[in-house]
Formats: sequence, structure tokens, C-alpha cells
Amino acid sequence: MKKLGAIKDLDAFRASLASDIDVNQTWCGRPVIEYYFTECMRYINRYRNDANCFLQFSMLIEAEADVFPLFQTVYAEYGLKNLMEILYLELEILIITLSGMKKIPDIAFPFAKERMRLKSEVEAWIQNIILTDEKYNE
Amino acid sequence: MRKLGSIESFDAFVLGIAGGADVNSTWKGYPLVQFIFRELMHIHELKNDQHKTLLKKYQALVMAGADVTTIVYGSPGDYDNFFDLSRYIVLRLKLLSILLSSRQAKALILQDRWYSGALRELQTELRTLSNQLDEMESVE
Repeated sequence: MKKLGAIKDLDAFRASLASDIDVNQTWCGRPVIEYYFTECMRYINRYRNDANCFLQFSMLIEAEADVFPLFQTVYAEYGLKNLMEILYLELEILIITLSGMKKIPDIAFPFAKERMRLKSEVEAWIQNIILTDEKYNE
Repeated sequence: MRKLGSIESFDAFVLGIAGGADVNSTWKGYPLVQFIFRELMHIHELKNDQHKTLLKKYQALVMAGADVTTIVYGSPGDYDNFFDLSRYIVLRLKLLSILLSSRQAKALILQDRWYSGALRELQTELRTLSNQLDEMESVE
């Protein structure tokens, strides 16, 4: 049976997960969940082009793969801690930039369109990242 | 007067601005505010206080009225602009959200003071951003 890290086709990947394959197997010397998380981070940072890694990572999570390795990875740049720190930094940059944009007199489309898209995304994520609500403490 | 881009210390940088240095001056061929923005966009791993200083310098420039037009619209073929930053954030939130759909991940985060604190900070930051986007809508 092919290893999960080697399966690029999404249907084949899904089919493998539906069989009895070990979702906590390794690939390239590390847990496969960590491999796909890293691939997602590399995609975001423009080091790779294939966005399928998000779906594969998502499928592994749905299949209840062990996520503990993401909390202690030795690859700091691609660990969860770094994701959260960089995200915080980028939100800070965005907030500062927006405060400067208020001073541009004729700022308009395509910014207005992007602003609306961001707004809907941000609202969705605020709901998603609430620590203290009932959903989180189930 | 020294160019702002050549000043490494944050305190001296702010003093330079307070002393009347041109916040729209250039550095290495770019408006300084765009240069610092690009530097910040190339950080993919937070390592040291240099990054925090860079962010504070960026904030000081914008607060002092530096023109961010080049950041909003960028240059042709240039990834380092507002829309690229927006893309980074949306994708990182998407990745984090997928992870948070794991019950195990939630439990691990709740058990760990650093992670649970970081998540709360992110939430606060997102609320700030949301309010700011609302304010901008009212002036569009």
C-alpha cells in the first residue's frame, strides 16, 4: 500500500483513509500530519504551488490523526507556534496599514471589494476561534 | 540629516521623525514605508527583537503620516502589497481553523498556557481588525 505522503491524487488519498491505513504513519522521517501541515505553510509562503495540501491536511484531521507532533515539531518555521506568531504579526501589519489607508482620499475599488471579503472572513474566524464558548468546552 | 532608513535604533528612529525627517523618504530605491513593509512580509519565522523593532518602526512611520499608497496598490508583478498580506492572513486562518476542528488540538491548546493565550490574542486582534474594517466602510 502506498504511503499517505506519496499520494497526490485527492480521490486516492480519500480512498486510502477510508481503508484501514494508519493515519499516524510517517513520511520523510516525520509524522504525515506534520508533513502536510508543513506543505500548507510552504504553500502560504509561496514555496509550492499545489493547494491540495489543505484538503489532505483537513482529511487527516477528520480521520483523527494525532496532532500532538504539531505542538512540538523541531521544524520551528513550520510549527503551530510559528503559525500563530506570524499570523499575529501579519494582523498587526494589516491593522497598521489600514490606519494609514484611511488617509488616502480616493481609495476605492478594488480595495472596497477586498475589504468586504476580508470582513466576511474575519467574522467567520472570530466565531471559529472563540475559546470560551460552549462549542469549545464540549 | 541622516536618512530614516539608515537608523537602526527605534528610539533614534522616532527622534528622527520628531525632528522633522521626511517620512516619505526613500531607502534602497523604495519609499521607506514600503521597504519596511516588504521586510516584514518576508518574515516567515519570528526569531528575535529585530522583527519587533521593524514593526514598531512601520507603525511609527504610518502614524506620522507616511503615504501607504504604494503598499495598497503595489507595483506590477510585486507580491508584497496589501492584497498579498490579506492572502497570507486568510490562508493562515484557514489552516488554523482546520487544526482547531480537531478535538485533540482543542484539548492540547486549552491545557497549554502559551497556546491558549496566543489564541485569545488572535481573537482580540481579529476583533480590532473587524472594527477597523467597519470604520473604513463608513467613509468609503
